[in-house]
Amino acid sequence: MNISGIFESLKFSSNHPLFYNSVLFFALFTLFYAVYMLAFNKVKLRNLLLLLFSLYFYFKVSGLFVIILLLISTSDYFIGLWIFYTKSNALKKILLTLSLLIDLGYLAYYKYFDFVLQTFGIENSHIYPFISNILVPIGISYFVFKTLTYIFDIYRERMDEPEHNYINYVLYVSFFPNILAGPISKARDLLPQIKNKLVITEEHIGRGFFLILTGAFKKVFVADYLANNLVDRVFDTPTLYTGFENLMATYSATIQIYFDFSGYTDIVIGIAFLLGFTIQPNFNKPFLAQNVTEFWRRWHITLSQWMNEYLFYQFSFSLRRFRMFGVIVAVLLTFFISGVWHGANWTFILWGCSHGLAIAYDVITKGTRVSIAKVIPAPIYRFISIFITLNFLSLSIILFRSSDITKAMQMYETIFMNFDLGIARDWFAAYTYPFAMVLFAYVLHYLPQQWNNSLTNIYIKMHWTLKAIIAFVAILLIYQAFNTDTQPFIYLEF
Amino acid sequence: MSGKLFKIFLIILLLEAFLIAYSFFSPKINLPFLNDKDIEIKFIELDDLMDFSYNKVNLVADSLIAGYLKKDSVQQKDSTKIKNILKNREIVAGILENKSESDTAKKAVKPKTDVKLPFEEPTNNLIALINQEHNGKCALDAFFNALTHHKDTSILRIAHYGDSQLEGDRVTSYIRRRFQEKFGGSGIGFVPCTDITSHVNLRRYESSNWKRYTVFKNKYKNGNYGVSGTVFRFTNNNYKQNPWLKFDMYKFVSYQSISILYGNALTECIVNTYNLNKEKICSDTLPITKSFTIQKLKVPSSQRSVKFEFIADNSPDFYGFLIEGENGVQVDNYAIRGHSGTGLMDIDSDYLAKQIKLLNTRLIIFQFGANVVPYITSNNKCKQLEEKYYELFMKFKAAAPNASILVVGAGDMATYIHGKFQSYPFLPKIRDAQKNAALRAGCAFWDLFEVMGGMNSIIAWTNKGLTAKDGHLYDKGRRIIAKELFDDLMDEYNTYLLKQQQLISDAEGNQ
Amino acid sequence: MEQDVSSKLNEIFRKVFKDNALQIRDEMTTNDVERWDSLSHLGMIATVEKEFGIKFRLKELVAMKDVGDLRKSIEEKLNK
Repeated sequence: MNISGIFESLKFSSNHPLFYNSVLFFALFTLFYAVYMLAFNKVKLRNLLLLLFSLYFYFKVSGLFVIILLLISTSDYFIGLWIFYTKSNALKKILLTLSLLIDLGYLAYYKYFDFVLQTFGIENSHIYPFISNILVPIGISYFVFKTLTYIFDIYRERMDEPEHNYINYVLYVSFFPNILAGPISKARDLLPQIKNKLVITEEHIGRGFFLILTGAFKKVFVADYLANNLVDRVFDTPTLYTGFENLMATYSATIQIYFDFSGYTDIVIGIAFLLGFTIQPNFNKPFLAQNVTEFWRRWHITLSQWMNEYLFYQFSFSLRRFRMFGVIVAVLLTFFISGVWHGANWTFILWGCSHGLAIAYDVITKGTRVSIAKVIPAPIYRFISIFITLNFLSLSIILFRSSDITKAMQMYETIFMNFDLGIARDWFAAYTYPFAMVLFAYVLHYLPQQWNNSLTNIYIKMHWTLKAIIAFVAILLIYQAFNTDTQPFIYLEF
Repeated sequence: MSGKLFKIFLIILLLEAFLIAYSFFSPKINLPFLNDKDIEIKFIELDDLMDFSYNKVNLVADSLIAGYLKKDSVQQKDSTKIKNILKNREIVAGILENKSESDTAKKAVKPKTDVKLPFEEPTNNLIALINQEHNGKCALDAFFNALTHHKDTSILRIAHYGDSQLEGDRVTSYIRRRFQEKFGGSGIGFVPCTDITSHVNLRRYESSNWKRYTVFKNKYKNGNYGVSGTVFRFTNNNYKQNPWLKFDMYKFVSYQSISILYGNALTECIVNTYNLNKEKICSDTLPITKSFTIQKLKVPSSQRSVKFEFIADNSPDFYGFLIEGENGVQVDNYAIRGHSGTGLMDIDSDYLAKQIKLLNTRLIIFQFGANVVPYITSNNKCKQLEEKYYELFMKFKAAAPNASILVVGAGDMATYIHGKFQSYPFLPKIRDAQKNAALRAGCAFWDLFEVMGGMNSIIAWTNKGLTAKDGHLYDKGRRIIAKELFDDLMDEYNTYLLKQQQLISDAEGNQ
Repeated sequence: MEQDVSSKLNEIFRKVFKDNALQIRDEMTTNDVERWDSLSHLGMIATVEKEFGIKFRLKELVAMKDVGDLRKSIEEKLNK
């Protein structure tokens, strides 16, 4: 064992930021939990411990940017109190604006400054800032949105009281399970849990571990495998592949992103359960959606709710006298912002707008669609709706996933102009395992939720030693996928 | 203390105990699986589990890339470069004579020729281009000689063989630009009749009755391959229209003539050329021939859009087009996607020699790697690879006695290994195999692997948006590589010129 | 007064959500009416404001959980 290596690994290393699927995190979490168990019933001590670990965790992930995290939570702590206690409506508004300026200001600077410069043709020394995490505080988009739920809810008088305890508030913002990529917990959901004593039941234990294991399976076994053996290579260089290959990669990317994000989310929710906290889910079988509006009730649910409550609602309220036209403008504006939020790249913005347009379409055609649904037998209507929606989602994922507009355009061009179905046979032969994984993933997604619930219940009822054994077997299995050599790049010729 | 939390803690501890125990004992659990292959269930090695230190990230690559990107503003002194080159030659000569590298490097380095230069410390330790000296002659001398004595009335050609890294004139176009800027020349050289990818200098359209044969896939059994390793034939299966090809060239392509390369023509073939407005601008007849022919068409210069219509009872074997000027240097792109290079052995040696002579190709560049690396996974396969390449280089040496051969080694490429993105572990050995084959065959060698920065450098290149993770160059990366290759060639060329000067003054001194 | 508000509100709901059989109750929410969702909600509010001659503030709307809250808020504004 390398002693100096251990000390090295405890410091921040920009080339090796900490992540959940690492030996180091395992070790640190174990040590943390040993102390957490002892402090659990003393709320103040428990929160202090959790805060220290969360800050250290963020430091390990993002280095000195932990200071930004502290600055933002501190300023919003004070602003929240002030807004709540001041009687002047004008001052409330000013304070709200101040908070927005500070929070969104940081976000805009770190995430969007280079992008904006580039758009106006000004070259910056950072060539591709949004590829290198090091230049952006990780998770800033998420924790800024988190702290804003508090400020907005205080302003809208939805909170009965503000958070008086500084430690509690900073913990709310920096809570390590969901600091990196959500789910975006609202203040009115997480703060009450922080302030009170928590109870851990058998259900917490069972669901917690089960979610962590299934999440790891989804992310590593399925998503990473698909990324490395099918999806990434085509999106990196679309012109090297035919339209058919590009299309297959697109359908694969759709399910891959879902497994990636939902797998990660499951791990986060599972870890929170083990700590006694309940975090809202982010996904609900998204590809069962029959239209894009429904999709956003099933995909990245916490973000969607945030956008809905704090953006869409505000916009449509201000435009309510324009009726449907007002709603449509509100939708487009909200999704434009959603696109921008997802990343500092025109691809995300166009993706967001395309979804906005799809929802506008839903709004306008709602009457017609309801009438059609009455005429066609329900299962057929459902199937067609799901099929159309899935295709729209897949085609728009090209924008989401491509690193720039040129590549996205190349993919569209290849798919629609250069399809070449003749290559299909060779492709299935060359990519049999990755394709099997894609099918497997879709099947898993479409299985009834009840099956998952039943399995969870079985796991919950197991003796703790059996739980550990199952976890051990699961991790071994998942590791095999982690460890396999990549499918060689096969350039098929016709 | 909550009993439930303690339970959670116990589960975690027990799980970790199991995992560590498994690492420690590493039992070989084999599962019979598909294709009679046993799958072994592995876990992290105990050493790796306990080792919290990190893999050294390739910082060399970062600084190299920064240097390449800044190159325009920093002019390295020619003299320093030449000093480096001469020093490099010493080292290489030492390798070839089986001396240890450190021994040779420790020897006081004296330039072999008495070049009068201000003595300066070398600033660049990178040995990228190896132009070994053997009995007073260097591998690139034939090419440099041709460059120096090149007359204004003909074209001096460079052949650039490669795989998907080069397809559609990628990389080659940047090399060509630099050569033509310095030595004159115009046009884009060799263009295949059809291809599976887009060309960077023109848009190509074709009728559906063309067939493309290559030395790599869809081999041609009824005749010889062109120097590019491809053959194109049409079939007369459409009674409504004759087979045709169309090239729409981009604005910056200027040329003086278009020629067709073909052979094995049993019947005459009429070629009608139409312009953008569908007017026939000329008509040529390709005579019957058994041998390799370069037929210049009557197409007037710099027509941006040309459509060729072919009328013949039987298709000749077409090899491609030449779109270029009348003099200067031309670089021909002979790229075939998926190819490892060894397929070129299938080109008939005599036919190859004839084509090279007629075309006046004086430098042959082989740039392969992407399609080789994933499959070379043992020392044995490395040895086999070296022998295959040696065979190939010797074949081309024999077919082109008045040309030099330059081998560009495989660049860095990465794949997912043990959950981390890392370079293919055999890359240095593959590079060595290519290098040894090249040096043994009397070719020059350009170490692209070192130019990029060695193992795991691809990650730095990918982060800067210069390459894809699998090693394929993006446009900016292509420019950099082409520039580095050209600059290193020119440094060798300057050294050659100085040496010639020296020899002349020596000769004069001796009189 | 109370009766009028309820029945007028009922009329508005029937018109906006295109359902002539609709009968509102205090506990009713968006889940209970087919065409009532976040996209059509504020259009309905705009109609309510126009028909009753009142204006809502955002924080008032945000606090409403069901039709009952809406009815009470309308009454309060009319009584002022």
